[in-house]
Amino acid sequence: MTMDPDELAALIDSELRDLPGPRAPRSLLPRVLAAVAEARRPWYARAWRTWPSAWQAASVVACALLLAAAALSLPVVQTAALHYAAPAVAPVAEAVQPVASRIEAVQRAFEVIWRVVIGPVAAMALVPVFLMLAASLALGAALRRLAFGGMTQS
Amino acid sequence: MTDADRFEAFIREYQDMVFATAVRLLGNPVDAEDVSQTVFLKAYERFDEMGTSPTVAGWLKTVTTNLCLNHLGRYRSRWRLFSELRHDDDEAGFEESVLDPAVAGAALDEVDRRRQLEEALRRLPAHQRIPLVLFHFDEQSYQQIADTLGVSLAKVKADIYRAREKLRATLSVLDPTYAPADARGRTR
Repeated sequence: MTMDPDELAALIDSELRDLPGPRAPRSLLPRVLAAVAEARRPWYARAWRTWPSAWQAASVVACALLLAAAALSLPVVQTAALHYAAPAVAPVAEAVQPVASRIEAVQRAFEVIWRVVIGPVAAMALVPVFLMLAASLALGAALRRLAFGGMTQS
Repeated sequence: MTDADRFEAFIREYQDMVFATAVRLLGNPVDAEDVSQTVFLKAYERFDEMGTSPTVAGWLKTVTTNLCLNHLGRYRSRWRLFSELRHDDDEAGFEESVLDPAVAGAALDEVDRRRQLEEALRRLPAHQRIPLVLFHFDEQSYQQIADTLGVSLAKVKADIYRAREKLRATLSVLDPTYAPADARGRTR
C-alpha cells in the first residue's frame, strides 16, 4: 500500500504548497514592541542579569568591597555606639543580665551534651549519608548522559 | 512616521511569515512565538540598514530557521535518542491519532481539510517534520538538509519519505482518492 516515491513527493509538495501560512498570534506584536522598548532602555536600567558581563563583574566586586568595608568598620562603629549609648542602655542591661546568664548556662550544657553524646554518633551517621549522596549523584549523571547525550546518530 | 511606527509596520508585514516558518519547524505555537520575538529583536538591532532592503524577507526566514534549529539543538540529544528508539510499528495509526474522529471519513470542505493537514504536519515527530519542512517550504536539497542537521543523507531521505507517507495516509483518510491505486482497488 505504498506509492511511487516521486509521485508521492509531487503530491505532498503540491498539498503543502497549497496550505495557507499559519497566522501569527495577536499577542506577538505587543510582545515584540514591549521587548523592543526594554531593549531601548540603557543597560543600567534593565534587569541585572541582562547587564554586560563586565558591568556584572564590576557590580559584584563593588558589592564585595562594600561588604568588606562594612565588616572592617563594624568594630569601630560598635565601640563608638557603645561609648555614646552606654548611659542610656545601662538600666536595660541590668534587667537582662539574669536572663543572659541562664541562656549562657543552657548553651554550655548543650555544648557538653553535643561533644560527649551526639557528636560521635553524628559523625558516624554522616558517612552513610555522604555515601548515599555520592551514589545518587553518580546515578543521576549516568541517567542524564543516557537521556540527553552520548548517543550517536546513524 | 517615527522609527517606532516604521518598525511596528515592519512587524505587521512579516510576522505571519516568521511565525509560520517557526511553527512548522518547531511544531509548537508557544515556542514559535518565543522564537519569532527573538527574530524581530535581532531585526530591530539592524533595522536602520535592512528595514527597506529587498532581501529582508529572505534574511528573516534564514534567521528564523537558524534560531529554530538552535532551539531544537538544545534538545537534540534527547531527540536523537527517542528517534532511534521509536519503531515504525509505533507510528502506525498516525493519521487516526491526528484526526478528529468526527471528521475522519466525513465530507470536509477545503478549509477543514487543509487545517487537518496542517495539524498532521505539526504532529509529525521532529526528526521527520524538520527535514520535510526544510525540503518543501525552504526548498533545500536533501544534501543541504543533511549538512544542516548533521545527519546522513540516507537518514534525511528515509525520514522525509516516512513523513510524506504519513501525510498521504492522513489525506487518504480525509479523502479516499488519495490512497494508492492498489489500495483503492482492494477497498472497492
